Order: sequence, then structure tokens, then C-alpha cells
Amino acid sequence: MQTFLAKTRQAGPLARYIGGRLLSGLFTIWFIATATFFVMHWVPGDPLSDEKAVSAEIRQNLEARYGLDKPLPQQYWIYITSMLKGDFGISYTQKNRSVNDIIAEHFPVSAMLGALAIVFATLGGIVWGAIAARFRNRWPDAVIMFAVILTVSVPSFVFAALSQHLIIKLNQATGVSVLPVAGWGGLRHMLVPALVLGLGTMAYLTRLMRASTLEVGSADYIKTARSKGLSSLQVFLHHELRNAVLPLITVLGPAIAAITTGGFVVELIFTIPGLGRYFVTAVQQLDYTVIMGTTVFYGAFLVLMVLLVDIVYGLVDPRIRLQGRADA
Amino acid sequence: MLSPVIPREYFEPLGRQQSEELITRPSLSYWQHVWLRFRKNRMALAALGVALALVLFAVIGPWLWPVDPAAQNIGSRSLGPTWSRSAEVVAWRPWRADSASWQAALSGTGIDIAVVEANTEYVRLLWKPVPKATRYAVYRNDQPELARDSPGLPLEDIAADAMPMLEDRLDLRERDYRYSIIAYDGRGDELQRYQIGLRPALAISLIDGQLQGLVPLELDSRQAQGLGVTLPAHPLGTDHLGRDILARLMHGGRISLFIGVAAPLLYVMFGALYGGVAAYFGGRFDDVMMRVADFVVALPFLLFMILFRVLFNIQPGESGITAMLVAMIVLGWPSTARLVRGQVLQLKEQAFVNAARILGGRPFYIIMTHMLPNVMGVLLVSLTFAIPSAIFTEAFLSFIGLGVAPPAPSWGSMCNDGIRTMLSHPHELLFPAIAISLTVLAFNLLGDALRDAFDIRLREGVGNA
Amino acid sequence: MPEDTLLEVSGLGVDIPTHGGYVHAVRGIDFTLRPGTTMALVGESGCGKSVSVQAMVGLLATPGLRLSGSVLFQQRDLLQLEQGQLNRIRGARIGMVFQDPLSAFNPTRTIGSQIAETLRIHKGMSKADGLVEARRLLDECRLSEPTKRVAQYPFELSGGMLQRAMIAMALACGPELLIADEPTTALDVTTQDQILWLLQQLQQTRGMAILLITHDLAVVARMADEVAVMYAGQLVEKAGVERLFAAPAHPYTRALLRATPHGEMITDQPLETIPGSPPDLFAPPQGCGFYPRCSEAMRICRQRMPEILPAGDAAVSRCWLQHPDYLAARGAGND
Repeated sequence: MQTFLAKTRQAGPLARYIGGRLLSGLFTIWFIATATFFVMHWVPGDPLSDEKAVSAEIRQNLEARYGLDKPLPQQYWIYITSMLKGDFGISYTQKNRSVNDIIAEHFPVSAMLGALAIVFATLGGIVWGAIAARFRNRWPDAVIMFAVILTVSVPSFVFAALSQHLIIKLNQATGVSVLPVAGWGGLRHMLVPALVLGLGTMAYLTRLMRASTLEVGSADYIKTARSKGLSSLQVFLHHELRNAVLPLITVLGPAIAAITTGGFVVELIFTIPGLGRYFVTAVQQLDYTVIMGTTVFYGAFLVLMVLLVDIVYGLVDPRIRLQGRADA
Repeated sequence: MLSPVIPREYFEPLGRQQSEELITRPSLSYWQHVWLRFRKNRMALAALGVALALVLFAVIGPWLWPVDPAAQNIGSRSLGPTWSRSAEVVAWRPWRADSASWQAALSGTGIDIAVVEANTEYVRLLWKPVPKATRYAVYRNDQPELARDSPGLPLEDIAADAMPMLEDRLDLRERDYRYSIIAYDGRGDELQRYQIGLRPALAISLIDGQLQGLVPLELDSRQAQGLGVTLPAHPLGTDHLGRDILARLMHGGRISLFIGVAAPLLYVMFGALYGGVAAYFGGRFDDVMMRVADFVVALPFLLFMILFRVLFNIQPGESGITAMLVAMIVLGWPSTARLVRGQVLQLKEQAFVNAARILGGRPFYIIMTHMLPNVMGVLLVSLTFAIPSAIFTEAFLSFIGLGVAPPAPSWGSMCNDGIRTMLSHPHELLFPAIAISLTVLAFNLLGDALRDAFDIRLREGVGNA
Repeated sequence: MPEDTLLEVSGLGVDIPTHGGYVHAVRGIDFTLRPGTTMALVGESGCGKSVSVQAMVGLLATPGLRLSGSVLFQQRDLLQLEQGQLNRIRGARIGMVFQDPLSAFNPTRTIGSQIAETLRIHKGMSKADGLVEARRLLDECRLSEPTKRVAQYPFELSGGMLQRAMIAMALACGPELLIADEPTTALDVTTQDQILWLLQQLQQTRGMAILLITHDLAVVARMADEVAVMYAGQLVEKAGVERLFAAPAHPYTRALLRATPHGEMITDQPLETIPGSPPDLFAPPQGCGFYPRCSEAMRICRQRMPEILPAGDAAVSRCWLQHPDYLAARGAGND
């Protein structure tokens, strides 16, 4: 009984926190869906008016198919309920494909690319940031920080274009296809696009890691660790690194969002069949159901990711995990 | 113990002597401290200089370089950087070589191939017929210095019963070419290979010259032929439609910098007001306002960008500067609001604010003299950091076709154009990319320097240095 | 060096590089500490007491730091040791306790694992054995529920509990010397009392020497056998604790005592303050550092630095008032 009480008291605040976040996340997703719906319906002229020479009959069929002949509240109701069922409707421009199919087919590609980019960015950020901090105000620090500021100053599409250019030159120089210039296939196809995609986040994380390593380095407990007779490497590995990495987790949520948006550009340039490229095409073609479906999907994905990152941080940092216990 | 003995007058008591020992440091105001620290940072001054230069470039540039950024010129597409060059006006007329002129051209001994005319409008070649040849294949090597042995681009196949002559009008530039003429017999074996190198003279067609106002309209082709004109300079070259990149960079800079400065300025101001009000009233009101801010942060920017374009009735392919501004402002403010709220909450608890309140300071006085100056630094720094991110956003949106659309130039849309011709004409991407990067770099460095300069924790260092 | 000396500091100087040049934070201090005794290093903040102690054990890590003099601990000069040799002494032979126990513990690791870490590196204990020993140490330092504490994180404990854990960690390997840098400053008065009592008890049972850094004369009176008073990076007076409180030799010590409330004070008697502020250690004064604030200043004080001079009862003081020529001149003047 005693342990059970202790457990609920431990889990209480975290569970309440997660519950609250989930609720506000759901509200956000609903708002995004509703805003999308109404604005799409305020568009002057309906989406079918572009169709060339549609007969009244075809037009009626199409309207019935897309549910455009019903009054607005009913359309909204259909839209929300079908979305709750996970049905995002049918594409306007590709008549035989449902938005679900498009997401199911293309999102895994984007997710794989994004995951690899996050891995690159995090590993690179930790390593470069730690090196810069350890060599503070000496040349490795200067070189790394210069590279960081250069990286955050160049738009990602320029990096994408330049790296593609470099691959072409490399392949020309060696006479063999060292790396594919574009397209989608194995890991070889993902390598450079993921690196380019993660570059901006890597620079940001490097900066953060450097600052947090320096902050941790001047903390009192580092002095304690040294006074205990730990070698500087032991101090670095067991005390500095661990504590310096923790704050990086908090920015992973926004980083995932940035990498998702950045994915649009990278997928476009490297002609990778991801959802991002599809989304941009849909935007350019005003394919409303695809825009609505993908944005609600992306919105839900990002809300979920940010929440997930927060929970992970709560689990990793004892100060947050055990807040309830300290208060009690 | 000590020798010699210290004289007794040295042991005269002096009383307190503090005043003469006091070293007074000049008293500096907060802003003087900030400026002093900023001025010491050489990188910051350089960044400030670059930022100002870029603003001048965009604002004053179009007066100093009054070239129409939208004027297309098919005759000078994708040119690299050039200064003004003189060219000859040529009026093309069908080439009819008779055998007399043909013989005259090849009259000397040992001459197998002759250049009749070579300018950037057309190149005309003649050669000696090869006995038993059934056809001649003509090639042009555009980079003879790189690919020495390659015949290059196949131009034309000429039957042997026609006159052995060639007119080439295919995208000629003022550079070295090498033409190869290979004679084949009926079985397809190579009989003879003629080669000649040449460099076309810079020329402009009469029509182009008249369109650009270089040649008076009343001249006919006979009068204009051979007339010398000066072609306009393109210090940064031209793009794939022959538009001057320098002029486009200047006009594009106006748009990019306008969006880059106006959007952050508006949302930083709104965010400061919002955060300040939330923190000032505090309590439940503050909770609700910050909940709203958290909610806005979670909204996807791109979706709202599209929604605003739809709301403002902007068709695909149209420029949507207003939509872009509105989307950036509506979604951009929460970070500043949080920052200012945190700052104001902290200031509210500070001893000097309490002291001012206890001494009878009115809220307005406290806000103006104690809160505002301490928030100004944070505001200025967040504004400086918001500018590069807004410039990036504009570039990104123009890149995916949701921002500034042609023919209006912006740095983002110029990059978008440049990427298509990146492999053959890298300068079309390079110059706008440099403009964006330089601006972003300058404002990033400026932001770093301002943050350091405003950091009150560093303030003690100045007096000692 | 006599047999009964644990620590002998001579001519220790510390110059710390900053943006504005070197700060001459410590300017040649000397003292010795016998095993099992307590020496208190006293002075106002910024006088260099903490810096000198951290310099002794190599805890100052600023690049470009300049150290001079020698610090003989058990016949070995700590300033000349290699990092590895120093690491074998720190934590094992010398334990340290810091001012703010909450920030002195790594917030993301349990108390037990941090104590066990010391045992692991010096005694080669396994993690499990280390945790058992950590529990025993916490118990020895009279921390309630030691079994529970071992698995807790620093933020879950109060300041007093953390300071007990900190002492347990410092004593883990049975050091001959405990350096306590303002161990009670961050604690409330009741807890202060308990911690000081604990330190006294532990000193009795373990027989270790304590080097106590404090600005609190009450703590000094209670804990110390000998007292060294620091001012502007120098020792200005060194004496046995009773002698120091009974007959302070240096004007600074006297001013310090007058500025401290004590039991015999009449309630409406104002507490004295020391006017002015310590000198700028970027450019230390030519003469006595205390001279501008000294009520007994003389002409020579401004021009020449006084030496360490005997002041009777084995006490020494850095003041011209103890100079034989001054004493001779005053004697002559009085005649």
C-alpha cells in the first residue's frame, strides 16, 4: 500500500502534465483543421470551376463525390468526422488517389530522411559543440564557430544546390557514380540530402552544446568532481557531457519542426518522392483536399513530436521526473 | 632587525587618508556602457558596416545604377560579369556564296579552309572540296582549351554535291571555338579532316540594337551594317532572360530587406506589448495570455501562409508580399512576448523597482525609467536576430513559389531562378545567394555583438580595461 | 620540516589573468598546519582566502594562471606534482567541502553514486560496494534514513542534509586533511550549529586536520586552534585562537572584531563598520594594503610594505606597529 501510494504520487504530476499537454495538442489540431476547412471554403469560386468544359451532369457528380452540394455546416461535420476516422478525402488533381494513400506512400520517405537528418544533426551538434567548448577561445573553437555562423547564414536550398553540384563534379572526376545526384533508393540516396537537411539544426545544436558545456564547466559540482580526484577526462565524461547534453533535448521538438519544413526544399531539389515535395506541388496546384489533409497530418505529427520530446526530457532529467517527490 | 634604523618621523600618525587614494572612474550611463562594449568588438563594427552598406545598396543603388531590372534581352542571356564592350551592328542577310568568291577565299596555296566572317551573330566558313567525299560532318568544339581532341558539338551534315560552306548561328559567344570538318566517303570512312580555330567578334543584330535603343530606328540594314555601338555593362552578368543581375539584386534587395525588417519590427513590437501587458497584470490574466501564445507557437507556418494567400485572393504564381507579411506577423510574435514577459516579471521583483515604488514612483514613471530601458536591450537583440530569420523565410517562400513571383525580383526568387541554371551558369545563383548570406551573416553577428554589449553581467569589465 | 607538520604553505602567490590584466589575488602567504588541528583562514570576501586554498590543491583551472611558492603536504609539494599524482591525493588524502551544497552536487546523479564514485576511483571498489559504504558514511555523518538518501537526487534533500552528505563524500577515503570552504555560510543558524558540531565530532573520532575558510568570527572562535587573518591577498595576522580574540595585534583584526556582534555587547551600542573598500588587486599598493582604511596609519605605511613581525605569544602580525624601530621611537617619545 505504501509503495503504491508512493508510486501514484511519483506518477501523478507527470501524468497530469502529459494529459494537459495532450489536451492542448488536440485543441491545436482541431483549430488547424477548422481553420483549414473554412478558409478553403471561402475561396472565391469552388475548386471545380477550373475544370474545363464540365457538363452540368459531370459537375453534379463531382460535387456529390466531394460533398460540395451539401450545406456548409454539414460539410464541416462530414469533414471533421471523416478526419476523426482518419479519412482525409480524395485528391482533386489526381482523381483516383485518396489523400490517405498519398500520405501513406510518401510520408515514410520523408520520415526516414528526417530521422537520418536528426541523427546527423544531434551527433554533429554534440561532438562539434563539445570540441568547441573544450578548446574555448583557441583555434578549434574559432574554426567551428565560424563554420556555424556561416552555416546559419546560407539558405538550405543553396546548400542543397551546391552539394548536388559537388556530387556531379565528384562523379565526373572519378568517372564512376560515387553518390547518386538525385532520386530515391537506398541509404546512398539519403546520405547527402539528410546531411544538408540536418545542417542548419546541427549548427544550432553546436552553438547550444558549446554554451551548455561551458555553463556546466563552470558549475560548482565540476569543482567538486575535480576535488574528488577525478581525472579531467573522467570529469568530462561522467559529469560535464551528460549534463550538457540534457538541455539539447528540449530544442529537439522545434528542431523536428524545422527539419520537416526544410524537407520540402531538399526533397524538391534532390527529387525525393517525400510528402514535402508532394505538399509543395499541391500548394502550387491548389489541390485543396491534399493541402488540408497534409497540413492537418503535419500539424498532428508536430504536436505529437513536441509532446514526445517533452516526455522524454521529463524521463531523462531527474529534476523534472521527480518533481512531485521533492514537493511531497 | 632592520638596518639602518627607520627615522622616527616616518611613524607620524596620519589619520584617515582615503580621499586621496580614491580613484574615480567616470560615471557612464547604461547606453554609454553598451556603446563602449559594442565599439570594442571589431567584428560587430564590421557587421554594422556591412548591414548599412547593404541597406544603402538596396535604397540608393537603383538611382546610381538606373537599369530596368525587368528588361529582358534575349541577345545577352546568362552572361557572366562584363564591363561595357563595343560591338558591331550586323544585319543578317541570307548568305549566297558564288564560286568566284569561293575561289577567291581559298586562292592561296595550302589553304584548305577559310573564315569568311566571324561575329557573335554568325560564323561563315568555306573549305576545299575533298575528292571522292560524299558528305561533310561539321563539328564545333566550344572549349578547345579543355577538350583538345574532341570535335565537339555536331552542327550539320552537308552533302558533297552542295557548296562546301557552313553558316553557324547557334548561340555564339565572344570566345575561342574550333571547327572540325570531316569528309567521309560513301562507305563512311573518314577521308580528310579540316580544322580551324577562331574567335567571333562581338556583334549585335540590328533588331536587338534598335530594341535596346543603341541604334537609331530610322537606319536601315545597309546603313547600320558595321556601325560601332557600346553594349551595356553587366557587372554581375545577366540571368537566363538576359536581365541585369546587379539591377535585380538592388530592386530585389528592396523587397527582401523590406520584408526582412518590416515583419520583425511589427511582430517584435506587438510581442513586446503583449508580453509586457501579460506580465504587468500577471496572475490569471497572464496565464491565459501565455496559453494563447503557446497555442500560436504550435500552429504550422506554411499552412497559415497558404491560408492568408487564399484569404487575400492571391492566385498561384502571383506575388503575395502582404500575405507573407501578415503570416509572419500573426505567427511570429510569441517568442518576443515570452522574452519580454520574462524580463518584466524579473524586473518587477528587482530591488530597484521595489525601491522606486516604495519611494512613491508612479507606475508610468517606473515603466519608463526602470522597465523600458532594461527591456530595450532584449528587444533590440531579438529584433536583430529576427531579421535574418525573416529574410530566410522570404527566400524559402519565394523558393517554393509562395512568396515573391516573377517578374518582380527578390533575392529568394532570384535564387530559385538561379538554381535551374546552376550547372551551366553558376553566377546566377551565386550572386543572390551571396546577398542573402551576407545580410544574414551581418545581422547574426550584429545580434551576437548586441547581446554581448547589453549583457549586464559583463558590465564591470569596462572600467578596468 | 618538523615531524608534526601536515601542511606547510610558504610564499604562496596566485596571479589570475583577466581581460584587464593579471589580478594579484594572493601575494605570498605562509602557514603550517599540524595533524589533527584546525586552522581557520579568515577575511572579508575577495581577500583571497578561497582562491589560495583552491590554488593549493590545483583546483584553479584558468589558462595562464601563475602560481608561486610551495605547498608541502606530507612532504610533497602539491604545486610541483603532475596531474595524475595530484588526483591520487585529492579526494583520498585531502577532502573538500564547499559553500553551497546544492550546487556542489551534480543535480542529475544520485547522492549515493556520487559518493561511490570517490570510493571507486581511489579504493577500486565496485559500484555495489561503493553504495554500501556510502550508506555507512551517510550514517556516520548522522544523516537520517541513509538507505533512502543513497538513491535520492540532490534537489530532494535540504541544505543541511546535503552538507552532511557532502562531508560524508569528502571523508569517504579517510583523508588526513579536510578543507572546508565556508561550509556553513549557505545554511540557516540551527543547521550551521549542527554541521559545526558534526565536524568537531568527526575530527575527534578520525583525528584529521581541518583547514576552515570562513568570514564568520563566531565559527572561528568555536572551531579553530589557530587563526590566520587575510587581507588583500596577504596574511596580516596569525595567532592562537585565544590570543587572537584576547589581544589582536593588527589594526585590521581589531577592526574586524569591533565589527562583530558578541555576547557582552550592550544592546544600544552601535556596531562599528570598517570604512572604505579593499585595494584594487590589479595594481596592489606599494605600502600596506590596509593603510587607507586604517585608523592608526602612519607615513611609512603608505610607502613601504610591513614585514611579518613577531607580536608575542607565538603570534605574528604584518604591521609597522610591531616594528622594533617604531616601538623604540614610541618609547623614546614617551620619555
